[in-house]
Amino acid sequence: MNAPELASLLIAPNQPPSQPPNPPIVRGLAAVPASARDQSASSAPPTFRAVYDEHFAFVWRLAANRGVPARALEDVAQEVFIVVHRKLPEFEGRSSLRTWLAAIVRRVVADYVKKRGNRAAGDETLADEPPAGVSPVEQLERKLALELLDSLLAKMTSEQREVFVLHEIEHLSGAEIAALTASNENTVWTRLRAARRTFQEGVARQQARRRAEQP
Amino acid sequence: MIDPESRRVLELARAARTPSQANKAAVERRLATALGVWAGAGAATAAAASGGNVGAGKLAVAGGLKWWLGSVALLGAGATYVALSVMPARPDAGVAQKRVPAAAIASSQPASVTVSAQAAGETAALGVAVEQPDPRQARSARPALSRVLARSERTRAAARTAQASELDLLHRAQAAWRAGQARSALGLLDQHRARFPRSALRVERDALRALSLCELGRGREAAQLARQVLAREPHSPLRAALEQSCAL
Repeated sequence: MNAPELASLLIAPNQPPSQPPNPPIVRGLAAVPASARDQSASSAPPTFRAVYDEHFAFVWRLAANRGVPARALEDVAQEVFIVVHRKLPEFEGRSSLRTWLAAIVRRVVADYVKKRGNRAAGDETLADEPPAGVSPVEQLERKLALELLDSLLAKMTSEQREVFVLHEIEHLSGAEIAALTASNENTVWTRLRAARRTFQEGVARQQARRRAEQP
Repeated sequence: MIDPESRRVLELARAARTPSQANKAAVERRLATALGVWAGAGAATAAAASGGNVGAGKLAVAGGLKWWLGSVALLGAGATYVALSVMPARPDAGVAQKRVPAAAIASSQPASVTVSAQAAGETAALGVAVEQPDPRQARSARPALSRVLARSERTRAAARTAQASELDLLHRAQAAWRAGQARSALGLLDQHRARFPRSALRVERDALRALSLCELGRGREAAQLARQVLAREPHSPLRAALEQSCAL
């Protein structure tokens, strides 16, 4: 038999395909999902249901990447959407919806961290329950990748970390991040370059370690 | 631009942090309670679709249009009582109440109770109210939860190291098998079996072993092992790979 690829042997062949490739990084409004763009353009605020459906994962990941442990994510996400529900009628579309949501997540997480105090999050950010349709090997790979990401994020300054997460993981544009962090776009790119360097060097070091461990 | 290996790590980490549908439904239920949004059929559907599991003391109640329609889920520790208020079909039909101890509904396992107007018949509808659990009992349940959550960092670090080396062994075995070095693959799989006899990846390990045995012309052993794998996991995604090999 032909050697099947990793996907067909150790990863279930019938599992759903991995997430679609990341959308191209474009600046400004083009980075906003089409539905949100349309709604912004028509100046009517999107419905709460539409915002929830389209951006729940974004809010969840953003909170998790800001250090909220897994067991508190539901609380934080709930809090974010309560604010969204209250403020949505005032949303005028002057910023992108995601920038607006990210600003809410920022504030809610800051409140959460303040209440939680200085207790270390540890690896509590890992989900306890494996997702359905993902093979054990891929689960393990995801877990290891997450640990590596967290360890490398911890090596960045908080400004670099924020820019890195927003751009490389959530695909916000430089202009959106600049608006969110109240800094200019050049500063965003400078921070991003530094964060990328830290991340890539960390990944390369880990790869080298793994190669060295192999006989 | 970021290099491909780093991009891959980012994509895996992003996937790991992407919430499941269950996460989304759980927050949706909480919002339905906190804000009263999505009341009516939408919320009822969401609660039903998500399996109706809510944290202790939390509930989702969806209002119906014609009748009172309640959908309640509760985690069944403690002396939570569900009061099923049978509301009249007509305003003048009177009110009857029946109190059911939650323990009678949900033994020791978390359980969900869904009450629908349809189940009660066309002429009556149900209203559901839930008494919150005694806070003292909720507090007494906390230490057990804390113990589970507060596993030592040392234990977790050791588990991470073990997982990494386990995955590494399997990857190396697979690489060896792909390179036509079935004997070497078997050696690595033996190591894996010795070090991780109860591994969560033992189905993958044994499937790879069966394929390696095929490569070495040991069809009978391969077939025996493949049958064991499929007996253990009849719907294994590896079935196709095994069926295409000499093992079956």
